[in-house]
Formats: sequence, structure tokens, C-alpha cells
Amino acid sequence: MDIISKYIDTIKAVEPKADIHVSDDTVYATVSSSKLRDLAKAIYWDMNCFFRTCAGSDERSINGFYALYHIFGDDNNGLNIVLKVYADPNNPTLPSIVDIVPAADWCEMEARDLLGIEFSGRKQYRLILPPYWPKDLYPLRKEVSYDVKPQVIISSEKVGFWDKTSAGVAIPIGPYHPALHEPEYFELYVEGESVVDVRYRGFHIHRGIEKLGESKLTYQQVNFVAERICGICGFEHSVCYAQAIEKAAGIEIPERAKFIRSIVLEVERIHSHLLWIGVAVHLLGYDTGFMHTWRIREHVMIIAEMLTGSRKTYGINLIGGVRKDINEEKKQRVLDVLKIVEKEFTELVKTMVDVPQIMKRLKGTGILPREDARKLSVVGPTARGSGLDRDVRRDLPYAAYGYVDFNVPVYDDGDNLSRFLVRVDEVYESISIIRQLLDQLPQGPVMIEEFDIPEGRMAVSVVEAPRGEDIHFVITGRGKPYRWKVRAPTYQNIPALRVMLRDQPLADAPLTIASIDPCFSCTDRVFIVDKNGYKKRLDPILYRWR
Amino acid sequence: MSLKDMRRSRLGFLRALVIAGRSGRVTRRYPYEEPLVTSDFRGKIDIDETKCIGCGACVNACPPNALELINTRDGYISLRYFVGRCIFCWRCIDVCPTGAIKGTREFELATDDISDLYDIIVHEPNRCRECGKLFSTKRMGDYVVTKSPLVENYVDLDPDCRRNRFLKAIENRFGGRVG
Amino acid sequence: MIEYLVFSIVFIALSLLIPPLMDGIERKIRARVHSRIGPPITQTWYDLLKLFEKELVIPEGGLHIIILSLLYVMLAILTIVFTVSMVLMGYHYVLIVIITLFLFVQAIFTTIPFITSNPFAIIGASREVILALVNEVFFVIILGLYMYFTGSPGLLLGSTSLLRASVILLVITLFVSAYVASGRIPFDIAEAEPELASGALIEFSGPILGIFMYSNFIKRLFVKLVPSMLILLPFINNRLYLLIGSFVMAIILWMLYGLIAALLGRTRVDIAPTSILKIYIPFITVSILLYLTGY
Repeated sequence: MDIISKYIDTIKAVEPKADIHVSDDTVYATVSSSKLRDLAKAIYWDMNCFFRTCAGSDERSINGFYALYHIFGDDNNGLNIVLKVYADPNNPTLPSIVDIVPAADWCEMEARDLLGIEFSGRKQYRLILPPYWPKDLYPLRKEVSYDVKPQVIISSEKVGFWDKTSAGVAIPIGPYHPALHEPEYFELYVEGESVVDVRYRGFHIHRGIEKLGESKLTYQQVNFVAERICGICGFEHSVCYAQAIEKAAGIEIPERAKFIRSIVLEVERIHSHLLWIGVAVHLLGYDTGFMHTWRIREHVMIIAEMLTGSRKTYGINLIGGVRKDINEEKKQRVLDVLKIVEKEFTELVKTMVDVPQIMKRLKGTGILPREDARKLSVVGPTARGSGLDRDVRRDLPYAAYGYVDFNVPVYDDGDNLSRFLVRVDEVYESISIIRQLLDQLPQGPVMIEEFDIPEGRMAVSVVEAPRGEDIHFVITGRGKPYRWKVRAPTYQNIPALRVMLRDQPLADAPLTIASIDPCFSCTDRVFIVDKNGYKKRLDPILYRWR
Repeated sequence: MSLKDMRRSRLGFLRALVIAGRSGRVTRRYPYEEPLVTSDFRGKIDIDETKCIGCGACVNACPPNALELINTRDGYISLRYFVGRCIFCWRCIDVCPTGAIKGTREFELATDDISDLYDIIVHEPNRCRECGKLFSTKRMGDYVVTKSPLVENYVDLDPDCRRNRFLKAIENRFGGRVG
Repeated sequence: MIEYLVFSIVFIALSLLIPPLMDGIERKIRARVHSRIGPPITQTWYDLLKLFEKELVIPEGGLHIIILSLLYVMLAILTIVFTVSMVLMGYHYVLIVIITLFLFVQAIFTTIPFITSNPFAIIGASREVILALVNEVFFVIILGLYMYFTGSPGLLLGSTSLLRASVILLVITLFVSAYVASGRIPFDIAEAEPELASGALIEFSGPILGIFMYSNFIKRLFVKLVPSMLILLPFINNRLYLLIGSFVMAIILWMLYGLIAALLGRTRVDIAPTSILKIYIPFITVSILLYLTGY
């Protein structure tokens, strides 16, 4: 029997009254909250799915309840499975699945912070919002306006406020630290030079993008906001959002647009990996490698500007296609640059690998064992470096990836060197993909002019960002999305850091943190903008060392 | 490529000198040299005030609200472009019906006087021939008439007067009162 | 006699002015390896002067840090002053004084960060201690063996008895020790910026940081002068020419070490001692064997 029927049977076996409908590559099942845990176990462990994310939604204006969507993914068969449960509007409480699915930890707490859904059977804590945020103000509820500014007294969080069971001296890395490019806070507990435990406190730059997308913007405008979720991997967020709306509304975009999207996605992947390689060797003190990697990356940035009009935040994506076309001259220029990049990159990687300190410090550090990687559902090069063979471009093909052949590099050691090698290999694969795409580029328009977006449709869209799989979940509304949930890849990878940093020397901590390629702008999502248009940043942690 | 493919040698790191020698110095002496922008670069926009009709299509399309329709004097509508908010996406150029907006490659826009960053295009409003109120813009009226000549009858009535006229016409046609 | 005084003053002035300039040249060399233009040569002097203009912020740990920092810089300056003038004057026990002063300077540099209660500083300083325990101990051993092999605690000008294989091997090992002591990549683990946010120097700012950086530069010149003098000793008869030659060689060495530092990555505190010992122990053992067999 085919795989979808198998899922339907599995779900119905646990909850016979489930309301199931299938659309495209997604199985939607509405179930009662009492059967949620059994279903989660059946899908996550028995059917061997991965956990993508969970999204809470305020649907009181539609059906009178709060809803929580748990999204699972079956990569081997290219399916998404969405479990929907309702929560009582007056006292929203749902059973937690975190002991069955450890990867669901953060998204449950996010639903609690932003929507007020309580979870029974687990330890709850404040994740996204700062500790001084008023207790009963839930930003994602529909009655809360997007520009509400509560009266708060900014207070500080103390070192070691989690619990006192950790041993050792607490070393703060962040919120400001030269090794980090964005604000986040890692508290490492060290004994001598060895890290014994680590606590993470992030979300310093939560910007309330989902609320913005649901209140103030129109469908086409959200593309540009989505692109600015991240400065390095922004285009894939924009593609993921556009694909989600196109999937929900049933819009079929022209083939040429799909190819152009894939080409630019791969260009972005090359630039992102080159950036990461430079940063990784910089953290090891080898600045020569850093400078030369970025010198090679400059070629890629120039062709990105030539193809899209801007070095970063390309702005060519719209629902219905792309805004800029490729002509023969640009195609030739891209091929020339790719040849240069490939040659210089090979030479540079060979040189870097010969520097004795780099190999000694990359090998055997920051190990993430395969079982932990599976439990935490990590994504991207972090997963592929630990032996998990996951790549959304191959498993759930989107855009033009169905037309190209490529390998997915997987290494088994789980240390920093494996993740490094995965990214090096992916650069070569991306170059090969771009060449294949340019070869097969079909003629035709690049944009659909007329289309309709009906209300009340749902879709899950998954894209392979340079850092892993990125998920956008949308419910369409009138003129703008009703609910837009973004789960960036780093969101899924950070909980793995706790495993990777244990028992490692302190010197390798920044490198290990960097090896998951953290993109905290993607992970967090508040800027308070006052009426003059100037941004003020919430400053939750005033750290003082005594 | 796997590690085995890369043959490792003891003194391989000296190859960095070869790489550096071959690439020379890549620093660009900006601002004493030209910046590196291609011909496709999207810079700020330029609004042609002779073509703009004040329709507000660009205002609707602009994601960061850099373009706004504001009231400068009683009833006069103006299009204000604030470079400080512009993200250079050029969506306004896409949607402008008259092609009044042109894209440039300018990005060196820093200034210490914020009024430099505002472009304001003031439009002459339409005056309602019945109640004398000011509404919309004259040019918009002319543009709508060229697209659809039928509307010439009521393009110079403000929306309230237009609605009253329509309701009166229904009243006359079907009798009864509109309450 | 008077001309020796004049020369002393000239050389002391040179040794106080040159180190930051050499650091500027090193930055230029590093920039060239990075394919960049890099800052102008006088940039390091400019940075130091700018640091001295800033306000004095008393670090955690109180006023005695400032006093110890002043002591540190005075000792560093004194080391180079003594070296230069003793060589010129032909003092007999010059090598012993050099060892003593250098050990004092290193000891103070390592101790000061421990007094601040910042965990980054403490970790950085403990790394420096581990490195020093290996490197400075061998510095003393090498110079001690040198004095034993040559039979004199001073400098034997122009003596061909210094052209023995055992002595030359010792001096070569001293060149390696000079590299490690100069705190460059791969051995700048005490101040690893991405790992420890400036490590040992994290609590210092403004004039105190200026003092520390300046002392580090002087120390770098000093550790290069010593092996330069010893290697040139068999070939030069005149004290003045010896000093000139050593300065020139130290400058060339500085540029060479800067080039090497640009080509390597940073090591780790547990790997560093073993990699250093893998060089020292064989070299010294061979040197001792050569001496015992009469070479």
C-alpha cells in the first residue's frame, strides 16, 4: 500500500475520529489533545519521521479555539505530516511531547511565550521574551496590536540563574564577544580548561517578524521582510515563503522562474559556505585563510549583484515568479566566474589543510554522536557531519532541483572536521548544480501576472538553506497571511550545542559554536521602532561580572 | 573531496605565499577609486514630477513605507519619498502606471541634514464642482479619463457628491426614499 | 670612553623607538600575505599614542595593578638598556644578567592578570604560565649550557672556539625559543582574541594597555637580539660592530618571524608544550652529545 495510506492507517489506529485530508505532499490530521502523545510517538519513532517544528495559532476568530500544529517530516518518502490539536480558548493547555520528541522543546516554549498555551507534563520557562515582559501580554494573539509598547522596567538576568546544579566557574561568552557576530549568550561552566556544562540564552534580537507579516503587510510585501530575516541566507527564506503561498493557493509558476530561483539559491549557498570557512579558520587564528576565502567569495558576490541587482537581500522574489531575467551574456559571465572560483578554492583548501594547527584543532573536537543528532532532529551540515543522510533538495524536491543530479556529502565522525568537509564538498556540488541548471534553462516568462490567493488554506514549505532545512508554515488570510511561522535551521541546531560542548577544551568552544554555522538573526525574530523611525533595541541582559 | 584526496605535505602551508603573490593586493582605495558596482546595481529612485499622477500604487507596494501620500496643505496631496527607509527593492518602479519612477545607481547618500533625504512631489488637487471640496489630484483625474472616457461625467466630483448623485439617480429611477 | 657613552645613548634610543615601527612593518608584511594594502608603517606608534591619550580606567583588582604595570614596563626597558650598554662596555657577566632580567620580566607579565578577578584573564594567564614553564625554563637551560660549553658567562668576541657544532646547535634552538617567547601565532594563546576576548589583557585599557603593548614590543626586540648576538659573535671582533650587526639581524629576524606567523594557525594550550618539547629535547640532547664527543 502506498505510503500515504500507511500514515492514514497509523493515525486512525491511534485516533479513529481523526479528521484527515491530504494535499500535495502533506497529510493534515486534526486530532484530540488526549491522543497527541501516542500519535507523536507513533509518527516520530515507529514511522521514523523527523520533527520539523510546531506552530501555535490564534484561531478564535475562525473557529473559537487556539490551535497547535505539530509538523513532522518523512524525508525518505518526501512527505510532511501535520497534526493539529485545539486548545480551550479560556484556559489553553495541551500535553507536552518533549519527552518523546526532544526536538520539540523550544517550539513549545515559543508557543507558550507568544500565545499563552500552557503545556502539561514538562518544566516550563520563558524562552523568547525577556523576563520583565508583562505576564499576560501575548504578542501573537490577534487582539494585541503589532506596535504595542508595554511599560516595563528593564532588569538584568544574573549569571547562573538557571539552576545551581552545575559545577565549575561560569565563563560568559556573549552577549558581546569578539568570536560572535550576533548577540547571544552562552554560559560555559569550566573546570580548568575543560567545559563541563553549557547554558544558552538567546533571542536577543527577536524582532516580531511573524506578527508584522500577519498585521501590517500584504502578501507581496512579506517577501521582502522574509528576505531580511537573515543577512546571509535571506534569499532562501524569501523562496520558502513564496513557495508556501504558491503551494497553499495552488499557483504554478513558470519553469524558467523555478530555474532562476534555484540558480540564485545555489549562488547563495556558495557564498555562505565560503563565508563560513573563512570565519572558521579565523577563529583558529589563521587569518590568511580568512582573507583569501573572502577574496574568492568576492567573485560570487559580484555575480550575485549582476544576476539580481544587489549583493545581498536580492529582492527578486515575488509570489508568482521572479522579477529579473538572465540573458546569454550573464550566463557566460557566471560560468567564467565559477571556473575561477573552483580553481582558486581547491588550491586554497589544499593549503589550509596543510597548516598543522588547523587539522589538529578541527579533528576530534565538538563531537555530536549520531544518536543525539537523531534525537534532536538536527539539520543541515550539522546532521550530515554526524552521519544522518538528510537533504531536502533531494528528498522533497522543490523549484528546479528535480532536474539536476548531485551528491549529498555525508561524513560519520561528527566532529568539527566532518562539518568542515561537508561544507567544502557542498561548494563543489553547488558549482556543478549551477552549471547543470544554466545548461537546461528553459525559455518562457519569469512571472505569472494574474493569480488568486483564497483564504483559509494551509501549506508547509521546506527549503534547504546553507545551514539546514528552513520551514515556513502559512495559513492564508485576506490580502495577507493569517499565520506565518518561520523555523530557521539554527533554531533546530542550537540545542545540539549542549552535547557538543561538553568535556571539550575551552579553546575549542568558539569554534564548536561556529561549526553549526549559527545564524542568530534567523533564530530570533524585537526591534522597537519608535515613531520617528529610529530603532531601539531591547537590552535584556546587563551583564556585570563581580 | 575527502581528506584522502588531498595529499598532505609538511610544508604545504607555504603555498599561501604563492597564492598571495599571484593575487596581488585586492584592496580597493575607495573613496579615492570608483566603487565596485555593476550596471545592474539597484540604487535610489528618481521620481519624475511631470509624469507622477499621485495614484498611490507605489505607496501600496512599498514594503517599508518609504513612499507615503501625505497632506501638505489643506487638501493638497503629496507624494513623499524618504530615502532613509528605502530598501532599494524597486517595487515602486514595477507598479507605477505611468512609468514616472526611474531607478538610479546612486547609493552614496550619507548626509548630515536629514531634509536632504526627503523628496516631496506636491500635486494640485481636484476641486469638486458641486461642493468645492479638494480631493485626489488633477492629474489622476486626467489619467483616469484617458483610460476610460466614460467617467468624464463624474471625475470632477468628490466621492461624497458622487455617491449622493448615484443614490439620487436610484431614487429617481425606482421611486421611494433612500434612508 | 665618551664615545661608548654616546653610542650607548644612540642604541638605547633606537631600541626604544624601533620596536613599534617593526610591528608596523610586520603588519604590512602580514597584509601582503593577505593580499591587502594594510595600515601604514607608523600605525602602531599612532595606536600607542592614541591609547595614552585615553582616560585611565582602574581595572578590577585595584590600584596595585597600575603600580605593577609600571614596574613591568620599567623592567622591560631596563632589560634592553642593560643589554645594550653591557655589551658596549664589555661587562663580563652579561649573559647571567640577561637571564635574570628576562625571567623577572616574564614573571611579572604572567602574574599581573591573576590579580584581576576576571575569569578570562585568569585563564589567559594560566595558559601563559604553562607556556612559560616550558619555554623560559629551556631558555635558561640553553643559555646555561652555552655558558658551560664556552666556559664564560660573557661574550667572547671573535672567538673561533665558538664555531663548534654543539654551540651552534644551541644557538639555533635559541632562535626557536625566541619565536615562542615573542607571543606570535601559533603561540599567542594567552591573548587569543576569538577564544578569550583578549585573555590576559582583557582588563586593561587606555594607558595601561599602551604600557603592556609597548613592553611586549620591547620584549620581542630583546628576545631576538640575544640569539643574533650569539650567532654573530665568532665573526666580529669589535663590540660596536657586534651591536650594529645584531640590530640588523634582529630586524631581519622580526620580519621573517612576522611572515611565518602569517602562515600558521593558533595552537592549543595542551598541544603547545608537546610541540615545543618535540623540538627542544632532541636538539639539546644532540648538542650535549656533540659536546661530550668533542665537537
